[in-house]
Amino acid sequence: MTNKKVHKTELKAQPFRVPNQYFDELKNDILEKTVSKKPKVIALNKVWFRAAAAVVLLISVGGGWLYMYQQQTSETELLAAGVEAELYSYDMQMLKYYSEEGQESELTNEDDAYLIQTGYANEEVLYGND
Amino acid sequence: MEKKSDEQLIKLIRRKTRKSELAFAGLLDRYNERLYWHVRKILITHEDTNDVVQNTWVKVYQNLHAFRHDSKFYTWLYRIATNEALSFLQKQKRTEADNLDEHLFNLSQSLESDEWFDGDEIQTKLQKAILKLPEKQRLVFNMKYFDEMKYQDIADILETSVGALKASYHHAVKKIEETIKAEIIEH
Repeated sequence: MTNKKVHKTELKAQPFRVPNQYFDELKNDILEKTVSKKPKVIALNKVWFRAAAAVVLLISVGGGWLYMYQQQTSETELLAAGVEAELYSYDMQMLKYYSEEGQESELTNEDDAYLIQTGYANEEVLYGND
Repeated sequence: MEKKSDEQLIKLIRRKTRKSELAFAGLLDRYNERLYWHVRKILITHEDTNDVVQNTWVKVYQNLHAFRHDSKFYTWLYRIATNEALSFLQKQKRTEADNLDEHLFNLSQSLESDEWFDGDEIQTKLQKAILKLPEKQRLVFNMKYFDEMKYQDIADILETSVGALKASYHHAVKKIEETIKAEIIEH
């Protein structure tokens, strides 16, 4: 071999080194990160996970309660409106009856006061012109 | 056992059967060491090279479905590794708040104290001269001079023309000769 060739071979030689068994370890590391990679399991004992679960649970329970409460409120309001309408209708029927029959009202003073106050009847209707 | 081609191994990996792991290990056996040295010549330090090589293989595995066999597998692999290594250098440049040339100069200064570098005097001079080259010339010189790759393969990896590569290599050789001569005269 000529001097020039020896020199060229030396120059082309790898001046860098790696730790012992490095390439076997590198191969295993890469395989673990790729084909051998197992699905990620979230540990339930982590504090942040517990906190997140508690928040989700609170939102679910709170939201459910709010929904049911709103449902109940609207049902109660509907029922109250129905009763009021029925009472009004009854009052009107009674007034008509008393005025037609010329009988004295069996309504109490409190009832009269309520009818006058709410505008359902006036004193003339209730007690006549005399 | 009959030696499988890259294409056959890739087909086996894509099927995601029990043989996939063996097939991927086959690709690693074939290219991992060469790829490591390619990246090491760009990044110089062992630790950085280790990170980049691992990231490269993870990307290769994730994007294997997109590989269309338009080019050779190894040029595709080297292209990903080269881009990963260059991005790594860019990131380091940003975090160290200096420019790339300064970063490479620092690397060349710390070369002799690196525990994973055992080059003799002339090899150290050569590595320092290579680190003074512009990025593209450095890549071309390493692939042509050390890895003895074909110009066409280097052109596929760097996505450039063969003519431009030949010019880059010629300039790189000239600059290295000048740098080494100047250093010899200085001492």
